[in-house]
Amino acid sequence: MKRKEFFSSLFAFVPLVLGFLGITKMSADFLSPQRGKAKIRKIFATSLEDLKIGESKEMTDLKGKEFLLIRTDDRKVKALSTTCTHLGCTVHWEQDKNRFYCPCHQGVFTPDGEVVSGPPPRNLATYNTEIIGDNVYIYLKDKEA
Amino acid sequence: MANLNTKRFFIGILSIAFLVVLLFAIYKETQKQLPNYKPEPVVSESTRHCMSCHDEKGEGKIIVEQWKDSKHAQVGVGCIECHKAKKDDVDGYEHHGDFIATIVTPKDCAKCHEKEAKEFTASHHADAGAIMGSLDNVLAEVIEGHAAFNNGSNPAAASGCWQCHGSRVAFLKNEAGEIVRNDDGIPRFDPKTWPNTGIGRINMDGSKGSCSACHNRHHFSVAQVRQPENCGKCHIGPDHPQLEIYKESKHGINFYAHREEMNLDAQPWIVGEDYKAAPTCVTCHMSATPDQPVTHEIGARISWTLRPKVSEKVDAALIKKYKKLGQPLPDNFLTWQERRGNMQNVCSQCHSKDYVKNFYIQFDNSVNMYNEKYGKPGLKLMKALKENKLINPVPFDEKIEWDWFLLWHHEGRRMRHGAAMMGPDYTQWHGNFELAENFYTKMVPEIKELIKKAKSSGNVSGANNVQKVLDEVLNSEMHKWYLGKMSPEEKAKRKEASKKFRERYTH
Amino acid sequence: MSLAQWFKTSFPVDNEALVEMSSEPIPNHLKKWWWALGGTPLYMFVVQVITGLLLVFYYQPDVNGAYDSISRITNELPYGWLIRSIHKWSANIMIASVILHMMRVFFTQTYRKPRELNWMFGVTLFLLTLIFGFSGYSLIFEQMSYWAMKVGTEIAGATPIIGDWLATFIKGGEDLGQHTLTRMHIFHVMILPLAMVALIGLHVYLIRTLGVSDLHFKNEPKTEKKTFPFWPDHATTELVMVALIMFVLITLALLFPVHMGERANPNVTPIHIKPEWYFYPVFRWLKLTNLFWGVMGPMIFIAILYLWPFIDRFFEKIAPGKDLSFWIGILGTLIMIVFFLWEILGH
Repeated sequence: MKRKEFFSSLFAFVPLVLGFLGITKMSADFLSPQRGKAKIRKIFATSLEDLKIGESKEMTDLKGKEFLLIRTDDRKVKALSTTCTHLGCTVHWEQDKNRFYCPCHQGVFTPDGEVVSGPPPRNLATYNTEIIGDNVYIYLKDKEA
Repeated sequence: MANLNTKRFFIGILSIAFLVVLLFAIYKETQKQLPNYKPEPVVSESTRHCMSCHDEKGEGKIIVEQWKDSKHAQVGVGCIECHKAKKDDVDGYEHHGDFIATIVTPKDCAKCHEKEAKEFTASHHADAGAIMGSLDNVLAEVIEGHAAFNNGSNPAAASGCWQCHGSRVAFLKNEAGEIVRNDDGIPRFDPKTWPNTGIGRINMDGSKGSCSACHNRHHFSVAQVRQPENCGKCHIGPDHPQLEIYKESKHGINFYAHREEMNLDAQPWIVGEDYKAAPTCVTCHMSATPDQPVTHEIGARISWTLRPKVSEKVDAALIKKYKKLGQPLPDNFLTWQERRGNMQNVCSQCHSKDYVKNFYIQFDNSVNMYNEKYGKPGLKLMKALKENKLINPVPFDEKIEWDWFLLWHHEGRRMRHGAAMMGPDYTQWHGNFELAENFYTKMVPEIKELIKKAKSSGNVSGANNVQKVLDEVLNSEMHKWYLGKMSPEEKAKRKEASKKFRERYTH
Repeated sequence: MSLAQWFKTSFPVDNEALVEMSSEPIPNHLKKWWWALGGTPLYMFVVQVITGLLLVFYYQPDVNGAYDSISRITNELPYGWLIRSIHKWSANIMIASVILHMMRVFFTQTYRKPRELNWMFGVTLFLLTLIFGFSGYSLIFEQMSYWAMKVGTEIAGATPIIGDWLATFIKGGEDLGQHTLTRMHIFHVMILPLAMVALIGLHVYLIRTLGVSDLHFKNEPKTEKKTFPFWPDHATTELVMVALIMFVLITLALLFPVHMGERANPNVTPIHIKPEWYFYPVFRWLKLTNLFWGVMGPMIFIAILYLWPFIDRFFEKIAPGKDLSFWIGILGTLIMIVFFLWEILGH
């Protein structure tokens, strides 16, 4: 008797549970936005005319990524992400104190983006740059590795 | 009431039925995700009203059928949504209970497509109808055709120039100046101005341009728009063979070889992500890259203007234009470097940085050489001829004027476009070769003739002036071979190369 | 202490009480399928909450974005068409089963003392369900949505005494616009669900405390036991219903999926305007009467519904044993059916 009951319950409830699992999967598909792939893209940042040696320029690309360009030499431009590695606020460049300062939780970075104090776990991300003729290009990473 | 076992049995059966229909639902979902899936058209009541004549009774049935397949139909944009006119619209009229306008202009499309309409209206495309006063227009209306023919029907312009550049749309008026209407009360259009989907059409509501120049109605298919042949309606032919050049180029060859993989229907359509086989016209000039959105500002990625007698950077021309109009530069004005950067962003989706760099050096060199060898000297010579009255002010009545026109307007453009888009046959045989042929076998001998004629008819000072200019040109570095003045070293080098060539090929 | 012991001390559960509740004796007549009509709307409500929760992730309560967001759900998002169609069909089934449940209660006279208050909770639940349907439909912002809102708010406005205030309250202003859509959205996704959960709670509480009224049919076989246990017997009955409903919902969604209608256009009233089917009788009534009686009619009807237990008591007093309630119920049902069919067949 007990075994018959067991199998009859199984027959009843396994398909029902499977059905609800199917509905759950469909709902999950419905709710999940398409996920992009991590990639690097190269974009035109500025021309050397607009960035004197020693000068820095804050920029945002078309996708809203913020970065800082610093021309360190005649044909050398550094690019730093200005997104704090702690929890994503935008760091401020403080000219007088020669440092990056994050107002959210007082993270401090050197001009090269190295963490000095505060909670940030990593240095500011750097991006590769390239100068072709007069034009400065930057290789932006869409997903932090 | 059934006992427990029976009920459990029914739960089981019904649950299995539930699972089965779920499988059908999964099947239906996969069908939907197929690229050729089309949701049903949403037929509003107003659209149904229009369809009662224009579908069932046959007046323009295909229009309705095309519309049903369009994205507009899926989102409930039917006839009235586009064709509705306001009571004070110049081109509006009453039609079976609705107040409509036949022509849907960029102003109408802007109701939903504001960004595109704004970019387009600010672009050079929208200005295409403004060629009215140019030499090309004289060509069509006076020299080739006859504007006054058959009561001002201006056939050469109406069927020719204006079909690409755009007409100035007007209603047909009778002698009393009243608008002529047909039996249905629909105002008739002046036939020389409509039908017309010229991209710079000047519409009666004051807006510039025509969206349906590229976005063919009533399908409004993005796949159609992305085809090279679409741009090729106008960007074709002896004076600017962009379509032919594209087809000759490796870009074009790849496109036609891998057309099925081009994913032309996709939205978004991002190069490198949604398709990778080849670029089309819109890929480089308008469409989205991973870094740039779609733009209808057609000049946003162009650095040179290859149209004029002497090419210059595109922002120089625009800066001059705004200065002439006394207007300040628009807020989002791009320098030529920025525009080139935008274009190079597209190139970089497939090509390495050195590749792109070298290409632009090749391109710049070709354009600059044209400028220095043919454009500037030709302009100087023609100016000298005009100023010294060796040719009369009437345009196109003397052979030299035709040859000069062909030099810069046809051959010169072909060469520059060929260099721009890597169609070497156009750069060389339709370009540089014909430039040289024209210059050396037609223009130079004709100028010499004109100088002789001027001298014999008494205009000696004029003739001498022009001779001086001609001498200056022909003695310059690039032309002096014509006078036999090639340097002996170079002559020797060329002889050597020619000998080696013969040795190679006569075996 | 072990994990199990820690949990028992932190979260005390009276197992005995649980066992007692789940083996609650259910009167035998509940073995008849008619009595599943009460649990059905409850289950449909659960389905609505879940599908509604999914839909609200993408719905935009904005006059410019509402239609397009639903178009996106229906045409583009994975299984969006299925979830939306289930939501629509579940709404229809919920309303139908609530009406059938009301009729069952009415004709078995189980609204009688001491269940008059519970009957009134039930009528409120019925009205809430109708308002759910009305507010939900207005969110799509199709032509029918807009014009239904227009007519609905005009009717509210014609209510005596509180009309003006009521209409402005529903509209969120002097005329229909973004503020109206925002209010419909708030009603549909927050206020009505909370009200419904509260009322369902009260309704079920009273059912449990007052007990299901005992009923005997004339030709019922005599059994030893007059009751049967909730678990597992009645529970499995409910599960049969659940499995059946899931099957029916998916099938309906497959065979009759919901499509997009015409976009709302405040300047054009559609020629063939109609509310949803459950408003057909009221709609037909409105076409027959002037505005005052058009509004008063349904209000009187609702008042009669609420007070029915007491009206029934009055009938029992003046005509004992004649089952007047039964015949009036039949009459009322017939009138509803006639109006309903009239609306379908006429125009």
